[in-house]
Amino acid sequence: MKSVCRAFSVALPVVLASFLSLACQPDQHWNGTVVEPVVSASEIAGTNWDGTPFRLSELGGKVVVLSFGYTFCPDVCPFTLFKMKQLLAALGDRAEDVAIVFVSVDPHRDTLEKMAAYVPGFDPRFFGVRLEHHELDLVKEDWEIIAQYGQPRDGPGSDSYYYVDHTGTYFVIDREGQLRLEFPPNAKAEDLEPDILALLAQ
Amino acid sequence: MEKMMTTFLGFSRVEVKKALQGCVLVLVLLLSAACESKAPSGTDAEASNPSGLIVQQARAHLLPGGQGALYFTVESGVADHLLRVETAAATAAEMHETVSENGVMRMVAHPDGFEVSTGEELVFEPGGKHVMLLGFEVVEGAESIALTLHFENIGAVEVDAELIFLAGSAPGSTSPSSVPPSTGGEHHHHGAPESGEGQVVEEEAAT
Repeated sequence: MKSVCRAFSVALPVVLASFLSLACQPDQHWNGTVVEPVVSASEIAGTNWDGTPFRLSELGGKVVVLSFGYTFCPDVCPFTLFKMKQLLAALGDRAEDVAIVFVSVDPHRDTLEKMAAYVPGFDPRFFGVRLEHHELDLVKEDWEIIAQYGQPRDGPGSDSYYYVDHTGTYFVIDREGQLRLEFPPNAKAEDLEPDILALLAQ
Repeated sequence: MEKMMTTFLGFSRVEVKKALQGCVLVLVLLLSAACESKAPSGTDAEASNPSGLIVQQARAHLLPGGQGALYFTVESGVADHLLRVETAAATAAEMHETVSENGVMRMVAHPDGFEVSTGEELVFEPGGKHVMLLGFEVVEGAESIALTLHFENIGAVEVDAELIFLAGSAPGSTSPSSVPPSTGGEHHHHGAPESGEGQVVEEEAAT
């Protein structure tokens, strides 16, 4: 009995101390919106701007910042890629563990050629993914992405310019392929930076 | 003696005094007009005119593929309306506004332009109002492009917009469209136009 009591009197404080230290750990402050519950990021399967097959699940354990857009977009999408450039520059050496993925929601106009002329100009490390229409449909469903095509200026069926209303959210995926954070499209590189660093450290 | 003190070249003292006052007034107006057209370098970023309308921070984002977007801010002491923007560097320049609803980005066309309210800045910036450029072509090595902003009341205002290549100046980039860093552009002046139009001044833009 005595030995049991003694064992208990040693074990209990240890257990309590561990529990308290875990419970009292300060919560990580995130700039982005935390995705709860954490979910596995759905697959995105397409072709990268360099012609190689792209699989979101095969990015080798990098932290991923994912955005959707189209090359005809004059304002938001290019500025997004510009901010991603700034983000990688701010991350310095750590940038090699981060993948920037830009997925086109406009496969009709965004041919591989167009993606190759557009994406690497910002940074050749960026992934610029072209999806076939059926692949895009899957992604829209899995990711709950909106992509609505406007009326072409010169009438239906023409290739003249049209806009694509699209989800502008930045999705941040951790090294285990879990969707962890979302940022609004007006988020700055400096907003993302500490969150990315925190995910890299995990 | 008395006669000499009250007249000068046949004009009375009162008349001479008024004439002198008139001359001073004209001189002051001329000087202030001259000063306005020679804006000191501290206000390089501004295109301004007597109604106090200022266009600042004019910049053009150029993308691969002939697209671009113009941004600037307009402030005016007198209410006005920005009707349209033109540039010889693009085949089309149209005003739009990006709006965000529940995370979805939409582009809304504004063919009728935008109001400029007194004392309030009309801001064109990424993620908001912008001038979409199509068929954008610039001379190699150019550091700026000339814009003309057409306002309802004060007329045409010319501004130089700094060229920014969003792609092609990143570290590690291999794009051939890289532009050497700006060494500070030239500062051009135009003479004042006929009355009824705003003063036309070509200015370099700040980033």
